[in-house]
This record gives sequence, C-alpha cells and structure tokens, in this order.
Amino acid sequence: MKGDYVGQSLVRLDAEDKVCGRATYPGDFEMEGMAWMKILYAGRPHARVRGVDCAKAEALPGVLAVLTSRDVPCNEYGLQYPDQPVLCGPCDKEGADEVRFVTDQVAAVIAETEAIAEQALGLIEVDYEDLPAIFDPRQALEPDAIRLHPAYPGTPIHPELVFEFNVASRHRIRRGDVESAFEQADVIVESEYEIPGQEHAFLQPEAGLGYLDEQGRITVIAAGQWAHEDRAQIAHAMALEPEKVRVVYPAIGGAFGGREDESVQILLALAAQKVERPVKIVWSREESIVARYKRHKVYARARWAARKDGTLLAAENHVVADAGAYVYTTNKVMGNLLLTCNGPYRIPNVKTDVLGVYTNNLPKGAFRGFGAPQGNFIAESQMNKLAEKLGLDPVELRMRNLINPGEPMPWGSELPDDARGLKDSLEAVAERLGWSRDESGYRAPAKAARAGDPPHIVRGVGLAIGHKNVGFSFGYQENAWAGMELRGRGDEPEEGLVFAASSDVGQGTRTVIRQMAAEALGLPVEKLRVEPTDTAITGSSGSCSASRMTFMIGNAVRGAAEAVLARWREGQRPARAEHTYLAPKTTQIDGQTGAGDPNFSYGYVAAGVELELDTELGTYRFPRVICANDVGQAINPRLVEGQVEGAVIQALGWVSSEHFIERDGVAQTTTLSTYLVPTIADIPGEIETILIENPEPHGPWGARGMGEMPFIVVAAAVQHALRQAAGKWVDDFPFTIERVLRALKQER
Amino acid sequence: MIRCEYHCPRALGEALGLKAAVPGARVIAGGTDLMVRLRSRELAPAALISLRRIPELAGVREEQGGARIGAATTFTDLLDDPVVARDYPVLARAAARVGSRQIRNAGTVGGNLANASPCADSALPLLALGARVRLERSGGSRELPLDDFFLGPGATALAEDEILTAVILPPPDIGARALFLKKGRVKMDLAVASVAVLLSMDGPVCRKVRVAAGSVGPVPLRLREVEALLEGAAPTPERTARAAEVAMRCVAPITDVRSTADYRRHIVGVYLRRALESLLGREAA
Ligand SMILES: Cc1cc2nc3c(=O)[nH]c(=O)nc-3n(C[C@H](O)[C@H](O)[C@H](O)COP(=O)(O)OP(=O)(O)OC[C@H]3O[C@@H](n4cnc5c(N)ncnc54)[C@H](O)[C@@H]3O)c2cc1C
Repeated sequence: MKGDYVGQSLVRLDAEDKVCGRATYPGDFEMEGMAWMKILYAGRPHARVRGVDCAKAEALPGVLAVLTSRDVPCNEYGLQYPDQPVLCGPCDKEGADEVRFVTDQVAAVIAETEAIAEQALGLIEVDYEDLPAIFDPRQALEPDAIRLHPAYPGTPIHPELVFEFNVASRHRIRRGDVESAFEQADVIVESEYEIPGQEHAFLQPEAGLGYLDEQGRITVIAAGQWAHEDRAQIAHAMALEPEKVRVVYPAIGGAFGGREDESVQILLALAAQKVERPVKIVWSREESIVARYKRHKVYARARWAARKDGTLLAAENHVVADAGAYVYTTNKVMGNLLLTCNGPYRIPNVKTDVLGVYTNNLPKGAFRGFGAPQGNFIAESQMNKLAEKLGLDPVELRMRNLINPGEPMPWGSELPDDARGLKDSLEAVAERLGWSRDESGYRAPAKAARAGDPPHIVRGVGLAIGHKNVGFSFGYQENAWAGMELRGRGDEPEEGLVFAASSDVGQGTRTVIRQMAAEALGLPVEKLRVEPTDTAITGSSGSCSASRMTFMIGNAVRGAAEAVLARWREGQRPARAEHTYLAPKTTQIDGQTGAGDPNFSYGYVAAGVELELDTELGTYRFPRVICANDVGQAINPRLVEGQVEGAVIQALGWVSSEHFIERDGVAQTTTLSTYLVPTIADIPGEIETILIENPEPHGPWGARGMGEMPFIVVAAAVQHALRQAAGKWVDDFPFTIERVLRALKQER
Repeated sequence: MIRCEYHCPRALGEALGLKAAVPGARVIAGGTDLMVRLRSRELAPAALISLRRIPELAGVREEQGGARIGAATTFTDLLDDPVVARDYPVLARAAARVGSRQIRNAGTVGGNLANASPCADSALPLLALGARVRLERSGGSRELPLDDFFLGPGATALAEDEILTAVILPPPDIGARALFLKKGRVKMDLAVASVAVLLSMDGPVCRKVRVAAGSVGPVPLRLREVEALLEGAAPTPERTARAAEVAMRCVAPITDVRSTADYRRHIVGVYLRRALESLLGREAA
C-alpha cells in the first residue's frame, strides 16, 4: 500500500553528507590521547604457536602494550559457533594455540603512533611448529585427512554443525526415489560446476576506535551489521556482562555480508581496557582483502531428469563448499544453498547433499545471497540445459514446472500464497526480451544479428529466475526492536525520535525507517529524527543482512508507533514506547530428509541478460540487463532500484572480471589492481529494473525483503547468454577470456 | 606518510637550475605514476621538483605547421584542445582511454613518456605520428625522435640533469588516417595490449604506414617490418592478414599478472588487422 511516505522516493538522509565528504566513517574518529594498534598475522596456513616473546617489542619506545593469547579472558569467538581464537597462542582454551589460516591473528601492538606499532610487529618473536595443511575441501573429506578442529558436539541451536572429520556443517534433502526416476527419464542432464568465491570489496576498509566512555563502559565505534551481536561477542571474549560493553555504528562504507562477523571490534575493546586510553585501528586495503572471509567457493555435481514434455522427474545435487578455517556463517550459507539448488520447481524426487568443509584457506562466510547465488546457479543452469536438450523453450519449461502457491517445496513446506512473483517476474523479463506466446506456449525471439555488427561480434540472450528466503530462520525466532519518543506540549507532537539498531551500510535503512515511522505515526517526516545505532540507547533490531531489515524493522516501527500514539493520547509527555516484533515461527529442518518449515517469507526474482561477444578476443559486454523483482511494496522505489542495479553489477563482477585466487591458503589477488571489480565504464549499457508489487501479508505495508534477490539470478542468466553466443556451456566461472576462448575453439 | 624536500618553481629556468643543483631530486608532474612508487617505498627521492606551475610546460601550441605539446599538458587538456582534435585526433582518442577522469585531470603526457612503461597510452599514437621529444638542461637543449627516447622498461634517454619539456609533432599528413585500439582487463586499466596504426593511401597502394604496439615488449614498439610489408603495396585482405601475422611475430610480450604472452600476441594480431580494415573502410573496428 502506497501512502504519504511509503512508496515515495525520498532523498536519503545521508546523501548530502556523503556527497560533500562530511559523513564520518569509523576511520575518521579521533580522540584526545589516542593510541594506535596494529595486528600481527601468522603468515603460515597451519601451525602450533609454542610461544610468543614480546620483550623486544615492549621495550621499543612508544609501545604501550602487546596483546597475546593470554590477554584474552575467553579466547574464542564466532557468530554461529566460537571456533576461532581471538589471538592464537598458548592459553587455557584447548586448540587456541593453533593457527588455521595465514591471517589468523597472533598478537596486537598498541603504541603512540601507527608507525611505532608497525615497527614493533617486526620485533615480536613467535615460536611456530608448522603443521601439514589442506587446501582442497574434497581432499579434506578423505578419511585419512588431518583434522583441523577438535570434535565439538553439534549444538542444539544448530544441529547442522556436525564437526565430523572436517565437515563443519551438513545438510540434506531426501524426497521420493531418485534412482527409479532416472530410469523412467527421457532426458538427463549431468554437470559439474565450479563456482568461485568473491571478495566483498566494500569501499571502507575495516577500522574503528575503542575507548572507555564517561560511564567507564568499554566502547567500540566500528562498522558492523548487528551492533548487539558485536557487543555480545566482545563481552563473551572478555568474559564481561554485555552491559559493560557499548557498540556504536557511525557511517558505514558498505558491507554486503562482509561485516557480519567480527573484524577489529574485539581487539579494540581489549586494547582500550588494557591501556585505558582510546585506541584506533585502520586496516589497509590489502589487510581488508587478505585478512577477511570471502564468499564460499563451491564444487557441485548435478544430475536432473525430465520427461519429453518437460515434466521434471528428479534432481540430484551434491555440493561441497570450502568453508575455510572457521565456520563463521557457513551453516546458514549452506542451508540456503540447500533450499535454492533445486529451484522453485515441482520435483517429485530429490536428493541433495550439501557439505561445508574446513580447510586451511581463508574462512568463508556471509556474502549477499548467503549461498543462494551458488544454489541458484546450479538449478538454473540445469534448467537452461534441460530446455535445450528437450528442444523446449526455457520460459515454457519453467512455466510448466513452477511450484504453484500452496504446493509443497522439496522440503515439504508450502510455497506461500503470495508467491505469484515467480511467474510475474519471469513473464515480465521474457516479454522485455522479446518472447512471444501462442497456444503452443512461450517462444523466444528469432536470433537476429544486429545491423552494423562486424563479423566478430555475436550476441546471446539468457535468463534465470529464483527465490530466496527473507531472514535467517531455520527455527531461529527472528526479532527486531524499535523505540519511539514523541515530544511536545499541545495535541500534536512537535518532534518524534525513532530508535532502532539498524546498520546503514549504504542501502539507506535509516531513511526508510524514518519514512515508515512517519507513515505509521501520521506525522510529517521532517518532524522525525532517527537516533544513532548505539547499544546504549537501543534494543537489538537484529542483523542487517539476509534481506531482512526493512521487513523486520518496519513491523517493529509499526508496533512502536501504535503504542506511542496510545500513550500520547493518554496524555503522556513525552510519550515513550517500544516494541519487539517477532516474525512468524519457523522450524529447523530434519537432518536426514530436510523436512521442515524453515522460513516465513521469500522474495522472487528473474533476470534477463543480453551479451555481446567478441569471438576473436574472447571478451564480452552486456548491452542490457533486465531484472524483475517482486518486492511486495517498495517503501522507497529509488532506493530499491539502487539495490537492484548494485546487485546486478556486483553479480556481473562475480561472473566476469572478479577472480579471487588463493594458492596454498594465500590470497593472490591482494589489491584492487589484481582483484578487478567492475568500474563504472564496465557496467551494462542499460539496467532495466522492473518492480513487481504483490503484497507480502506479513510485511510492513506489504513490503518483502529484496536486497539479495537481484544478485542470485545473474550468473545463470549470463551463462545462458554465453551459451547462445559462444556455442558452448561453460560450467566454471568467472568466465575468463581463457575459458571463453577455449569454448569458442571447441565449437569451431 | 611521505616526507621529503619539495620545490615548486614558477619558471622553466628555475626548474632546470634545481634539477642540476639538487642531487637525487626527481621531477613530479601529475604524480599519478610517481606517487604510487613513493607510497610503496620503491622510491625515496631526496627532493621533488614540481612541474605544475611552469607556464612554458603547459598546453598545446601550433608551431611550424605542426604542434608543440608542453610536457606538463594533462590528458584532459589534450582532450579539450582544438588543434589536437583537428590535426591529431588519434592522440585524443588515446588520451580518452587513459585511466579515469581523475587520472586524466592529473596525469601528463610528459609523465607518461618519461615513466617509460611499455603500456604508455600516449606513446603509441605519438610514435605513429612521428613525434620528437625536446630534452632540456640548464644551458642546453636537444631533440630526438621518440623512437630513440625509450631505452627499456622505466629507462629513457634523459640524462640526470635533463627535463623533458615538449613533444614536437610534424605537420599533419594530409590524407592520413590513424586509429588507436586498446585492450584492458576492465575498461579503466593499463593496456594488456594496444595498437596504433597510421595509414595514408596513394590510389590503390599504401603510401605511408606507421604501426606501434604497447605492452608487448620492453618499450612501446614501432613495428617497422609490418610497415615495410604494407608500404607501396595494395592492402588486400590477404595482405592485411599477413601483416597481422608479421606483427604477432615481431612483438615480444611477457606473461604477468595482467595477461599471458600468448594472449597479448593474439590481441596485437587481431587489432592490427581490425585497425587496417577499419581505416580502409572495409570493417568496423
Ligand atoms: C589509477 C591509474 C590508472 C592509470 N591508467 C593509465 C592508463 O590507462 N594508461 C596509461 O598510459 N597510464 C595510466 N596510468 C599511469 C599514469 O597516469 C600515466 O603514465 C601518466 O601519464 C603519468 O603522468 P604524471 O604526470 O602523473 O607523471 P608523474 O607520476 O608525475 O611522473 C612519472 C615519472 O616521470 C617523471 N617525469 C614526469 N614528468 C617529467 C618530465 N617532464 N621530464 C622528465 N621526467 C618527468 C617523474 O619523475 C616520474 O619518474 C594510470 C595510473 C593510475 C594511478
């Protein structure tokens, strides 16, 4: 439902400050008496730390302290499971003396200047015992492989975390009988895929300031995606009550999932406590690339079967993902991969195995789409290949197999009633790409060379559709808190304050919160102020990820507005109220069969890609990309378009120019001149965004989550377009020049 | 942080004096190459002499029917210049492909040449156009063909006390047309390989051909063998294909983080043929 503010493209609150360079990011903060911190990384992929000698470093003039493993009261952390030492080295925590990837942290120097801190790093003497290492997750699964983590028990909150051998998390779907279905099949498509990792490459490298606030609370100003979780993890590692810790988010230069887990927060808190002075750290771009987790690299085998008329009979997917050294959010990523790798299709027989596997590579974790991009690529590539093999139009094949609202998905729960967006988005994209429809079904436009194209230019068109859950769920009770205060003396509030702990990573969440608050309160937006994200003044609004924040906080804002208006009417001045929204209940899924009801809402999306290939050079461009996305209700259409365009470009980077390379656990692409993010000159000639608005019944004003959805469908659409142009299916991406030329050679 | 002595002379004579007097001093123009090397601590000069405030070094002037480009002329200035647009459009085309707008606002032609990278974008059209460079020192000056200026990666004919002050272009060749083609990994990137071709016809035969290739040897290369193959001959499709083969044989690329030797060679062949076909009006490049 559109309203006075909902559905309007208000200018972002932070637009002017950012354009004028006034916005303050974590690295911009300075304080009286501030010291600097630098981190010592292990520099070896797997080793035992026998001892750390800091005497020489501590003796360097200007050095205030050196932190090592023994300075961390509870030397472990992790968002899903605390399997990583804060500082590797001997201490009372079993296994914390082990380094498991090259940029595991061993010590931190706090000094008067950054230069002294850096110099002191070179004076720390670490006694390592190198251990054998594993870099290929498939080898890590072999029975005689060395074990990288002690056998933790699976936890009741995350039963999929098994820690058996090197399997960090294990997920399955079993439905029907795939083997006999394959026997009845007319057509089978079998493939092997290698889907690459990705570097988040946000603009603002990790940075922050730790200090003791006026109440003596350990305070950290940093960039994250969930302030209260940062606080909990700091408190856990320091063995403190959470109330003794405070986390504040200033302007944040992008996140994309890359700030989901802790980076500098815990060490800043420890350092500030240790030296009782403000302590600052700013990572270099190279640190930001080499010392942080990435998108999961995935190795997949898929075998799908259909009848002549296109009816899908069976899907069998086997997926092994490199989780790297620690679990981070691997179980969540793999869970979504599990749910998306069979597509939104009616498939009576399904066998899916997904494993997240420990190695000594950089850890892998959250990145826009949380496993759905990898899962969707498998499903949609299989569908496009099936269509070709069956001689059926790819749109027609999908239309025949799409799950209807109310029908069960492979894991048993029903596709929600409001899921018309799957069909609507596919139809919209097909129409824009020139598809037609008659009694026999959908038909692709005739392939026509464009007038004026030189002979070495060929064109291709590809498409894909998908769905992804909103929120983490899988039994987790999704929640979000919001607070409000109305001020004034008369009948009409003169000013309203909105409290929310949402992290504005560039998507404009604070702008949207203000719009929704204005709508809910019936007040002019100019009268409302959104207070900063600060754990000292807000409850937890949950993580700004998994396409969940607008959905969750919108509902919380609505509840808080209703409550505060009631108090205002009762005469309370100022009127104050808060509300915690709880999303509909979900369940874990069964460890053996996948059966369950893991999510409360989904987003639906389709993409069409036009590709122009230079057959001599093996290079290509994208004249046009179309993305149709069911967003339920765009709260701020221009911001939604920004999300679509950003996601499309980021996904095109993933499939084409970005190529995150690790060799023996060491990142090779350590700068932005070797890790190539698309520049403004590389983006598609045209990105056409189509917003579809089928209201989500539980969403605020009908809105549903959308931040990740446009990302997930791009890779398969590009592969499809490349197939049309190059004449070959290329199953490993990024689609580098070498791979494209090889495909072209095989074709000729 | 980088700390060193910094001079900002207002006249060329002053700059030349400083260059001779201050040992270990380096000149800095736009700083787009130099700052990268200072930050990585690959270089630590005793002093920097800025060329940004020296009027004699800025801008393009018509001179003896040709043009004189001041060494501190930025790529943006080149792109805005009417003489370049009219008489040497291929140079503008190459300037437009240098980095991003910010880099073009700061980066200079002199810096591009003096840095002597095999990928220098302005070097290729300048080689094809037959440019000369003027090198000056306190009390003296000399001129040499650009071909003789590059000695190796990062090495030039500049003596310790010399400054590159200008690029001299001969009068435009009536009837000649030229093209610059560049391949980067992404659009705003140094060349993986690049080609500049100048062609002037005399009836059915090529009267004059100049070919230069970038990122495929220790310096920006003139491909004289290719030029000789075409000059005086009719550029049939067979001959342009031959020219491409010869070009691929003449270049000496390496494999590095940006590409492989094989692919670079391949690009040179493809681009040379496309440039010729396009200049002949037979095919779009
Ligand atoms: C992000 C980025 C993108 C880039 N993209 C491109 C590109 O696409 N194509 C390309 O060709 N280059 C590119 N470059 C390289 C660079 O911008 C160019 O080479 C530019 O022309 C250098 O000029 P400058 O004035 O900045 O030189 P500076 O950095 O000031 O100087 C470079 C070197 O030349 C010396 N020098 C400068 N002027 C003189 C002079 N008059 N006499 C004697 N010595 C002198 C300096 O001492 C120094 O050694 C890029 C650089 C960056 C950082």
